[in-house]
Amino acid sequence: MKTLEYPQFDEILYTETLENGLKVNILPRKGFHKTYGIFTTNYGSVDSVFVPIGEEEMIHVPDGIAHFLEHKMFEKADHDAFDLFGEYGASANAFTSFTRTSYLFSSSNHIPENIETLLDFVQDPYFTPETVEKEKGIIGQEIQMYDDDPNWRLYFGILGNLYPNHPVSSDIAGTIESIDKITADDLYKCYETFYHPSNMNLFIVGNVDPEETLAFIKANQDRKNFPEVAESIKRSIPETQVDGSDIMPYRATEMEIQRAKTIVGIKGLDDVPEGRDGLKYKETIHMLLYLLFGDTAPQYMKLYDEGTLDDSFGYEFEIERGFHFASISGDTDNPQKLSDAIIHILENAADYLADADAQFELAKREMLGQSIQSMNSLESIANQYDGDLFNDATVFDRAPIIENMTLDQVRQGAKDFIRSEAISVYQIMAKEDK
Amino acid sequence: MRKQLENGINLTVIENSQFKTNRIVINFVAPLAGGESAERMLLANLLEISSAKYPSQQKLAEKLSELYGASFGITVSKKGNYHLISLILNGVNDKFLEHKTDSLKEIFNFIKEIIFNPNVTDGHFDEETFKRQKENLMMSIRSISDDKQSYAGLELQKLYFQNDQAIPSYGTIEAIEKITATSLFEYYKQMLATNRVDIFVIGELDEIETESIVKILPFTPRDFEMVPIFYHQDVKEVVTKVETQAVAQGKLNMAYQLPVYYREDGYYAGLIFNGIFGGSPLAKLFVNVREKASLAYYASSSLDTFRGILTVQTGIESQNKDKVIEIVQQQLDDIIAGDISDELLNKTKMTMINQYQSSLDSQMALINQSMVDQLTQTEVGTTEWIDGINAVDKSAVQAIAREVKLQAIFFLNGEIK
Repeated sequence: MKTLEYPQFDEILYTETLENGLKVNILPRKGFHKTYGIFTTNYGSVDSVFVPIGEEEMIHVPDGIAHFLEHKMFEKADHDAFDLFGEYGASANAFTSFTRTSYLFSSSNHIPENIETLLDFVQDPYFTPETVEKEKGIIGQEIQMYDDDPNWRLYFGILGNLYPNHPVSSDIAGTIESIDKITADDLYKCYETFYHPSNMNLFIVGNVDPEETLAFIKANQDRKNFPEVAESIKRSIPETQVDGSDIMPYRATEMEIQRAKTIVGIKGLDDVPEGRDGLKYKETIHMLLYLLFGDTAPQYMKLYDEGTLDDSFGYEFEIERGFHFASISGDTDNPQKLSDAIIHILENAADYLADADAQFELAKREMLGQSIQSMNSLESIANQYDGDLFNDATVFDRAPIIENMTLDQVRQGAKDFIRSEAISVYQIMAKEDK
Repeated sequence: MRKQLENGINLTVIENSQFKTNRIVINFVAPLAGGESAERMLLANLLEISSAKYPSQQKLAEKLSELYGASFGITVSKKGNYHLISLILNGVNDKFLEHKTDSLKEIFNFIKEIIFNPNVTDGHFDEETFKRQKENLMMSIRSISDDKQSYAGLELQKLYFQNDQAIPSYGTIEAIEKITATSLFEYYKQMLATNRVDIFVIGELDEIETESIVKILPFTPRDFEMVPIFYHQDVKEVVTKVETQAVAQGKLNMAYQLPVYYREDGYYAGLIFNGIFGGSPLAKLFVNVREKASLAYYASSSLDTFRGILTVQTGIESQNKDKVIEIVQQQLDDIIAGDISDELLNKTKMTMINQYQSSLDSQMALINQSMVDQLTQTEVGTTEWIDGINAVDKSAVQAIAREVKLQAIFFLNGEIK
């Protein structure tokens, strides 16, 4: 078992890749009552075209199937996985994103039993036509709930502009129509392909002994048979235009809301560096957005003071397997003015960064402190682990990247990432009362 | 360590080496009957973003960055018959920082500026800042109705209480509209002089040293009269309200009177009852409304043991409203009839115990527990709590279920498009 030591934070991470390909990370936290375990497959809503394991041809499965599969993993022939966790009082959950699906539990006792339950329920699929049909009603309600959420609609609106022919712009849960086509057979195909241990990782953090924990995880996996995989999974994700020519610059819709919403999206047309340098890139763009739109930025304050934006304003930056984008959004009485102001700041980033030395030094402290604060939470530590994406980086790898960051690096990040042709706007107007 | 620093000013220091930060919470406690929720919310927002020394949000944010990105906020909440303004600050412990500083002291100096030195001239808050915050607050309250789950929850509270308890912790737009920069400064002085103040500090720190640092804050003694924390209300006729909006999903929310109060008779049985009824994925509501009938994505219950109210919330296809009401009622009837398996009872107990033990890993949960101990003047250790949960039997849960009285139904009807 490999150990990674982080003396600055009093932490040691234990890691090993098992024979079947499953990557295991264990972080003991002395003094904690709770243990959190998360079992993740490198498979999400964008992976709907692929070659099933043991086959030759690409198949296209309905949108929303990764999320549907996540729901159905909990149901077995004569019980529900929640019942098994319930035996030990553990709480369990799962979530699906664009490129990953995770199953998790947290518990203050019976940790080995809970880890086994987690591994066993995810590695034992049970799908029948009847159980698949029944789930359509539940997920249909989940989809409708999100349909009524204006912020969710705003987010997928801008994704539709940035990625018009790419599955990232489809709702993670799919649509009522797409999930209606899902069959038990489809689920098995996706399952067998993407839930192979070599495409998965397990992260355990909490009050555990690393040696013992690894030993029974190994024993559990040794009892199971998985097919040998010769090569990596073949997935097909549509190419998007590197010059941004497929981006729709503007769309708007109406909803019965109190106040209009605007979102400005920037599609990453540049290449994210491989491995750890990818994490460095991520931290750099985070810093860039903070310097431009954070609460220590004079241009942000000006817009706040004149009432163009308020506390609903915020920004996000996402890097996932195969794509990256930023979004900046807020509620406003004047959506055009707000999106124009955001775009103006983006396009003049170099000027705003020209004299930002003092602001940058403070921002480094801010980000460093925030990353250390996040280490209080077991969930946050485990969820920040992105597997292969940044070559197994954890929250503990962020600190040195932040400490060594230079303002020139951020300026370069602005040049690479912010391109006028990569910018788009989506707005939701408040429908007038009837 | 817990002690009274002055009359009406209390300090609690919790030494704990589990965490990488020191968390500070300062609660200003007032009786809800004062009817000043709007003033208190606006004041919280104003103090959060400016002071005389840090007159702009930018200056204040720079100071927080200097303190290694200390998280800082001022929020409001209700607890039974009390209203709380909570100043919360979370800062990294010096030992994890390369440049050692005396950060706890610096943080308390910052807090002192925020609380005792507001951005005031000629007896009123800075007009510009006040105006902006007042507008923003009114706007953000209006926007709450865009979140249909929150909206349905608030409408249900209105139906159930029909008095001041129905007013959210942040007040009403009408009340906020009346506040001026001068009247708010008057209120600020009153709050600072009369509210009970509970100070909490948790982290890897020295108690004696911490106490001397906390004394940087020049709070004056005050006589604070405690009020009964629990809210009681008589059983009334059931009220129903249906509202139609252009939404895809209908929201069905129900409120019941359930006179189970924090650490009083039937408390543990009440917690178990809620767990069995709708408090977890093992619960009857989740299993029967969602898993068996496939009618909802969410269907759950929650219990407020400071106000004796049980609520049910579901998101459903509008046409299924009556069916869902029937299934929910059936679950209550089943519990009354004793249809509770030993398995479900035991799992629910295990789940509650797990949650309790897990909460010991959260600085905020530890502080909240200490706060509630002090407001209710009760204390229960971990062993006693677990024994209390384990002692609950089926008949005790049935007895609780018999006391559940439906009082209000709010239905947000999705328009047929």
